[in-house]
Amino acid sequence: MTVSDEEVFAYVDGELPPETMARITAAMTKDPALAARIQAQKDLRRLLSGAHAGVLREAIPPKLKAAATNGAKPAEVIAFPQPKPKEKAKDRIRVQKPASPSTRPAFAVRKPPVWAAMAACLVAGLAVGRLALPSPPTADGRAAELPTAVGPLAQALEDGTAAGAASGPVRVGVTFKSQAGRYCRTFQGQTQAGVACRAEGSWRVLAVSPAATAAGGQYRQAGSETPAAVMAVVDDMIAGAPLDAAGEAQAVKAGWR
Amino acid sequence: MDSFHKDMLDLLPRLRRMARVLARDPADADDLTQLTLERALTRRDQWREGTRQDSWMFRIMRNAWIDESRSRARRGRVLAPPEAGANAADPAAQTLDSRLALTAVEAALDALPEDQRTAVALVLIEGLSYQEAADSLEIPMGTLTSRLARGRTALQAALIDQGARP
Repeated sequence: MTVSDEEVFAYVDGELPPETMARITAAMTKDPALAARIQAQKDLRRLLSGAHAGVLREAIPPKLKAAATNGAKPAEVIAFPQPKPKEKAKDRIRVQKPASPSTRPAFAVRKPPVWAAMAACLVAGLAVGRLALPSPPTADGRAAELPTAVGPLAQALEDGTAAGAASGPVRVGVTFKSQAGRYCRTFQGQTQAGVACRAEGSWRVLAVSPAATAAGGQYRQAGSETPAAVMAVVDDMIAGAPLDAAGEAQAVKAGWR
Repeated sequence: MDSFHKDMLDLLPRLRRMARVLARDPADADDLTQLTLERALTRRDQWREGTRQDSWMFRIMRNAWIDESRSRARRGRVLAPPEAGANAADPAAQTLDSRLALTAVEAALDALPEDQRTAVALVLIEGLSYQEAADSLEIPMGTLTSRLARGRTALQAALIDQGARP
């Protein structure tokens, strides 16, 4: 029998009616050329099934995890892109020449202002008063998108302990070291929760999420109050285990150095 | 978190892989994935329970990519040939490394015209049926199978050329 290339493809893909599949299987035993064509296509199919398999093993970027859980109950997280050293120069170029014919103009030019604007709105809306200032782009483009904690938030992050009394409007939750070696802490305000990391003497807010509110407006124990979406960001960043109470106290005492 | 969000999280690795096939550049691919997630969430009411969420999201991704390509074209960008890479103006070492790390089959796939590349990826990488792939691409079955056939033939030729006989 004559079997066309299209039929060979469909055979290998399992897309032929059962009787045709059976007919071709039978024909293969008597037709080595046909068997070889089918084998070649099976090999190609197997080779392709592993294409870009490396992507499947990569860690999912936190911004994508956040996008996938955006709007999910009980919380949503806005994760701000973390500036990486190698991106600094690029960021600066984007800011200076938004219309340059770069290879990814639509994505690259459009996105940073959106994130920056979101950061400004969310951070200004944190609990009581202004808790963080969106940091303006610096001369070298560094940390252009990460808001800096101020006021009660900065105070809680700097001096607070998870076990300490909730003296201010913000409580700290988990303290940990990031994979980049920075001290980071989760925090919980009256309406928002999030993650901040210590960088060059100040606390930068990486992500915020609506707080999981406890019944009666009372604060719950540290840990249990942190929204799952915030914990997902922590899971992506954390190196080793969170600091215990002694480690936390020591870091506070040492001024996070 | 409900099952819609959970399924979307579970699909993330495959969405990133599909985006890598479409956009080729890893950073562009993650941007495309993000756009796809955002659109899927805003169009959640169009998702019919009981149908495959992966096919549905691949369709959203495909359309997002078309929109993206058009907006680039409007900006007057001349599409770089695959040899020059999607990174012609972005010679960061990391990106170059990732290009060099492509396997022979990935490089051959990247060199295919987009319509063939997409058809091949949906059926042969993602394992969609012909019908599901045709639905994702919003094309007739016959168009899908002909793109698939041309893509396969080109891949076979490219791989034999490179001595990496499949």
